[in-house]
Amino acid sequence: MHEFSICQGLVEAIIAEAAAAGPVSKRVVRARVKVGDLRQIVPDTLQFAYETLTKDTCADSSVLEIVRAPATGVCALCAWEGELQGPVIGFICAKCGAIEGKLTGGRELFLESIEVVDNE
Amino acid sequence: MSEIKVYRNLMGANDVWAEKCRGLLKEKKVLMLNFIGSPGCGKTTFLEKTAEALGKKVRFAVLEGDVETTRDAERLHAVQVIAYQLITGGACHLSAKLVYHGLRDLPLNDLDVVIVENVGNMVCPAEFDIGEHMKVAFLSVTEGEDKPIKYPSLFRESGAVVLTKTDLLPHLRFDLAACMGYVKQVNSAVPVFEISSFTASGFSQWIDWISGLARHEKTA
Repeated sequence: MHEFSICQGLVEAIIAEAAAAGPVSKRVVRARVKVGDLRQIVPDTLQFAYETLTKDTCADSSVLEIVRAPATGVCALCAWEGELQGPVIGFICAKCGAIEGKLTGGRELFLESIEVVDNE
Repeated sequence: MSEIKVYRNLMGANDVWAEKCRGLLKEKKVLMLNFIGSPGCGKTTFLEKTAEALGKKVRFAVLEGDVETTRDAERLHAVQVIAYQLITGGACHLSAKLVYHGLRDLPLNDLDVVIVENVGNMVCPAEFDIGEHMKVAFLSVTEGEDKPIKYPSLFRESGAVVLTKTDLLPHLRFDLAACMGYVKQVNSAVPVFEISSFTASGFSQWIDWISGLARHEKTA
């Protein structure tokens, strides 16, 4: 249920960005977040938290778009570099099968953009 | 309609407090470890035993994270450990802000190590940076050898693994070799301490390791 804690930060960020968007007050219609595959974020739970936490804010009824960022890594043995396939447990080289390597991507968690309209 | 590019880190609010913790630890040259494992895996008993084994070699204090009660802090007071209880009041993990407030109140000038015992949970605490030098994953042999691949995030994020209750191995169908293989699959270079808080087996390696880290922090 840590999605609620994370979503609280998300909603605060959205409200702050919308408030800073110009002199005319804005309504948020869409927010796009990037979530890495290695993050333990359940999309449905995040959606539910978003719906709950945006109620009666300037982002009420807006769409939350979750864009996934794949896990990527570099092999310590053969220097292969790329996207890891399937559910990722740990690093495994797609070329030589080694488990000695470094995960380089997949921990992303940020608000990418928001779409706003002027309040009538 | 207009689109506004933002690129704002969603852990930002937590990370600000985590940085404050890091700054304080660096200034005082104190090592902080974040213990994470399921409820009942033996974290608190391990800390009691660690207090006994460390003696006066390393001065340490504990921040105890729990959803409710001060029972764990009281257990550590009983063995003369400075321990403050952080009560999350329902939250499944410790936030960096709560840890910072606990940390600030500790007598850091007289300490080498602070151990944070996170809320018993293998999922959520792994997602939150509290400014620690290292996360330590706990797993007891009564839980099943496949936990590292069932909760890979925790084992991936950890700098060490402590396998507890190993005195029970003769009574269990716990496949130790398979467990080690799973740990390696998730985090190929992580050290694993096989310990028993009951017989004290494995403690000398653990004490040497934590003493070495604390010394490193003092001279860094």
